[in-house]
This record gives sequence, structure tokens and C-alpha cells, in this order.
Amino acid sequence: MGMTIAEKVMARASGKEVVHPGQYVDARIDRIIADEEFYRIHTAAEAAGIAGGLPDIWDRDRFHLILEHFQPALNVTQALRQQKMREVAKRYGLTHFRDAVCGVIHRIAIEDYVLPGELALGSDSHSVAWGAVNCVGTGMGEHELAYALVYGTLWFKVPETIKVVLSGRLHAALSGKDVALYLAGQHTTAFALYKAIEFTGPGASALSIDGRISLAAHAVELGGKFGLFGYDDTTAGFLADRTAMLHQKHLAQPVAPDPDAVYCQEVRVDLDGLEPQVARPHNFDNVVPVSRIAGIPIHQAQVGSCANGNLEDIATVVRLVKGKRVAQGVRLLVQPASWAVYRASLERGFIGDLLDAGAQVLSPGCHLCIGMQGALAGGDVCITSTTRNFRGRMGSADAQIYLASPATVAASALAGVIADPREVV
Amino acid sequence: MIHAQRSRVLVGRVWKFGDNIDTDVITPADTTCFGLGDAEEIRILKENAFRSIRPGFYRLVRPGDMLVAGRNFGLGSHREQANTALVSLGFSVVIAESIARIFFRNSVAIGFHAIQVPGITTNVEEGDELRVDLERWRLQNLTNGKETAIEPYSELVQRIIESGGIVEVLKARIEADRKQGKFATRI
Repeated sequence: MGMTIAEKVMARASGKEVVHPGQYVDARIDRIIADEEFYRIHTAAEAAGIAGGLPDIWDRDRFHLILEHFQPALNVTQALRQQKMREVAKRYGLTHFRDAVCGVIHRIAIEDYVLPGELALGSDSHSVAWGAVNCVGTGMGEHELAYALVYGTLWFKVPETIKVVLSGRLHAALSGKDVALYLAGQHTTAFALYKAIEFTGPGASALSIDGRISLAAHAVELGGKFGLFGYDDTTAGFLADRTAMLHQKHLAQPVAPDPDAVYCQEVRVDLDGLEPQVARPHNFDNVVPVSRIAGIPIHQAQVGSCANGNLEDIATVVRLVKGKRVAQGVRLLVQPASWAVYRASLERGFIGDLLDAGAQVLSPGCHLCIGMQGALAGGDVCITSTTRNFRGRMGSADAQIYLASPATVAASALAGVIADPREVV
Repeated sequence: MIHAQRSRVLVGRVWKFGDNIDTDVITPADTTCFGLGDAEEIRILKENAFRSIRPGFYRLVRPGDMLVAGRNFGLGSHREQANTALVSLGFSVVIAESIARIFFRNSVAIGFHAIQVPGITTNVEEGDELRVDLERWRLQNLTNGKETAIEPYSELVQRIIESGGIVEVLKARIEADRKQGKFATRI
């Protein structure tokens, strides 16, 4: 019996010929990427009485520490935490410590670090985004990462896999975000609970890496443990441009599912007729087609995050707003996911186009997604392409957050009300 | 560090929540993004837990209380503070129709009981008294007399929780390895 991508990687990482869903394995970790939360890994070990914290790091060439969520620091406590992190990084003798010039951890991971076929862990729930480049990535808490960092292994329950087959072509004004929202609307946020998702079919192949990142990142909003794309020419082309960690590039082991792999569920999505999707407050699966809620007045519009702060997303916004002006009374905030994305946007003239249209462009990071910048007051209505619309996620619990694709956000920013981007594109 | 208690039979009073209770509701982002893992952060997390749907909740919960919830409890962020805040509030266990993956793993990792019992929300009301027996894997509602089976933890999960969490497992392994001379040269 054949295996899925997740099963194959779990088998390889645990030194077994075959594994089955439900089986517990002790798997060797290929890579760990941690953000500011690494400080908690260190303090958790110390608090448990492990003198000096972690006694060693299993492989310094496979551990990356990135100070990224909030650069530059937003207040004194955060600055103090960063200061402590720098001390800890030095004490552990870390090889790959990235401090001032970062961006969202997942963008950095995909640009510079993770490889196809790896089993990789991140200190953030959206680490599933790495599946965009065929990396079996997932988020873990600090206590578990403490264990994995010392011994290079961790326990896993081999997940079942859901196959999501995308057929047809998306309308030019739609993106991976619409597909993720549609799936949540149809199947809820518990769709893939404890399961892996494989995105496949012609619609998946046609997506750029940025489009795949958006869909893979949202595997966690669909409850999933992994959100995986196969390896193809698009992946190879993207990785060919990599300029960091070149000494490890040969370690890539692209993984495809066996032709007779067994899936617990197969879901087909026809992209041809898909309407832009919007999640209403306060949950990712409270989804309707945009036509159902078009016309709701908004105060703030945002494009950014690991899922949708990539170059394609910024290009989409520019395509819609270039030569126009954001509606009066609306704040359009754009946050590129990394400085590389920022630079590419600058080189293409996107930043100027955005400023001309009346947008604000923020330095890369996770600020927008959790209201660390652009916080919302009670009564504010925001439409955003960031990752979550939980109550209070961006400030006041009385703010209303709608989630949508960058195109829908941009169209809404121009109109001052929630709007269908297909009327503009 | 915060550790839950490790008794195998728990009795407590229920606080009941609905579906999709996310980590921003449990521990809002502004209380989790600036902490140093110290007593001050633990206080802030506890006092702000559930504030958007139950302001001042920390004043109401008593040690040993139980949190009952619907589908996909703890979805969202990987933040462990959502788990530790429940321990700080005094909860002995979370019982939900289903529990989000990272929230479940984090609970195991800190030695806190999180169990999935399909149908729990139809058999339990707020204020009910429950007896959760993790030896016989039975859940008894002492208020209405209903009793249901609980699916046992896997052996591995049970061992980690009973050790007090994965860092305790790590500590024991490090100590054993140190006796063998490992880690002698580092840090």
C-alpha cells in the first residue's frame, strides 16, 4: 500500500520502511526555526531546574533563530526581551542567528532555509506555510522545541491525509486566499483536525509559490497539521534563486505521494466558478461570497502577514490601486512579509504606486496580523488579508474584522465599502 | 514554569464555553507579545484570560474547576501561554468536543489534562459537578447522574503528562546522559 507525502516523510524521519496513520513515531527533525519565543525555550529549561538551560543544541547548522515578529521593538519590555535573546544566542553559540533585518519568520524560512522533503518545526502556528515548497513543516510550542533542540527528535502521531484537488483556473482577481476561505466555509476550521492536507491537481500546479504559501499557511486555519504541495518546476525555479544556506541545498529530497497512497478524504474544488470569499467576524469559517456582504462600510484595509504579504499580493494591490486614490476615511496599510519582498516591491515601483494611492507602507513583520500596529478601536471595521479575525485579535473586542484576499481588500479600500474585486480587475 | 497537578481522579465545577474558542480569546495578543516569562507576565495573562467574552473571569474561577467547551477548542496561535493561563486560573482539565492540535500538544507538553469527549456539551451544563476518572477512563456528571466513557490517552501521552510535562522528561534524560559523561564540554 502506498504512502502520502506526510507518511513518507514520517517513515524516513523515524527510520522505518512504512508507517500508518495513527502510529506513534519518534522522528528525527531536519530543521528547527524559532522566533522571539526561543527565550521561553531557554527559560522553561532553566525553570525546570536544568542548570544553564539547554545543555547543547543537537545541530547548530539546522537551527535558525530569528528576531522577527516585532522589529524594531515596540516597547521597553520587548526591547529587553530582544536584549536577553541576543545574550542567549551568544551563550548557545548559535551559528544562524538573524537579528535586525528580518521579516515574517515563514517568508524568511521559505526564502532562505527550508528544503523540500524536510521535517521541520517552527515556534509559530503558521509554520505549515513551508509546505508551499514541499517541506513538511508545522508549529510547536516552546516546551516541545526545548526537547527537540537538545536531542533532534520528537514524538509524532502519523496523521491521516486529506487530498484537496483543485481543478480549473482562478479568475485573475482571486488567489489562494479565496480557496482557503472557501474550504473553511464549506468544511469548517475543524476540517483537517490532526490531519495533513495535500493540495494537488491542475489548479494547485498553476499557483505561484506566493499563491501556494497563502493556501499552505492557512492549513492551520483548516485545523491541519501539515499543508503540503508537491515539488515541481515552480518549486525548483523558486529555489534556484536562493542565495542563503547554499551548502545545504543538495540535501533537498523532494517527496511525491505514491500513486496508490491512501487518503482519508478527497475534496474537489472547481476554481472556474469561484467567487471571491470573505470571512465575517469572528471566525475563519464564517465565510460568504463577497456579493452577499458587498457595501458594508470599512475604516481600515490591510494587506500583509505570512499568508499574504508576499510580492504577488503586493503586485495585486498595485494592479488595483495604481493611479487611483484610497477612499476618504479609509486607512490602507500594506506590510511586505520580508525585506526581500520590500526591496523587490521598491525595484518594481510598487512602493511609490502605493504611496501615490494614499496607502501606508510598514516595515516587514507580524505587527498588522495581531494589532501591534494599526490597532482597532471599538466600532472600527477592518477588511484584511492577514491570517485571523478572532474577536479582539487586532485590539478592541468590539472591532469587526473581515478576512479576504489582497484583491478584495484593495477593491474595498478604493470603494470605502466591502467590494468585489472582479469589478475593478 | 507552571505545572498542573497530576491526580488521576478529578472532581470539579464546570465553566462552559461554545465552539471555536480561540487562543486570542483565551490569552489576547497584547498580553502575550511582550512577556519575559516572569511572575508579572503570568499575572497579566491570568487577569486578561477570556476578557473579551467573560471580563473578570479570573475572579470567578476556583482551583479545581473544569473547563468544558465545544468543537476545536484552542484553535489559532501556537502560544503556550493559552495553556499556562488555564493552569494559572486554577483549571484542572479542559474537556471539549474536540481540541485543536497545537493546543493539545502544548497541554501534554506542560503536563495539563486536555481530553476530547464527543457529546460533552449536550450532557453538561455550566455549574455542574463532574468527576473525571483517568484510571477507569470514565466521566461522571455528579449533578445529573450521566456517565460517559473517555478515550484513554496513548501510552506515550500518558507518560509525558504524568512526568509533569516534556521538559521534565528532557531533564531526566539530560541527567542520565550527564552521568554517562555527555554534555560535559558544552556551555
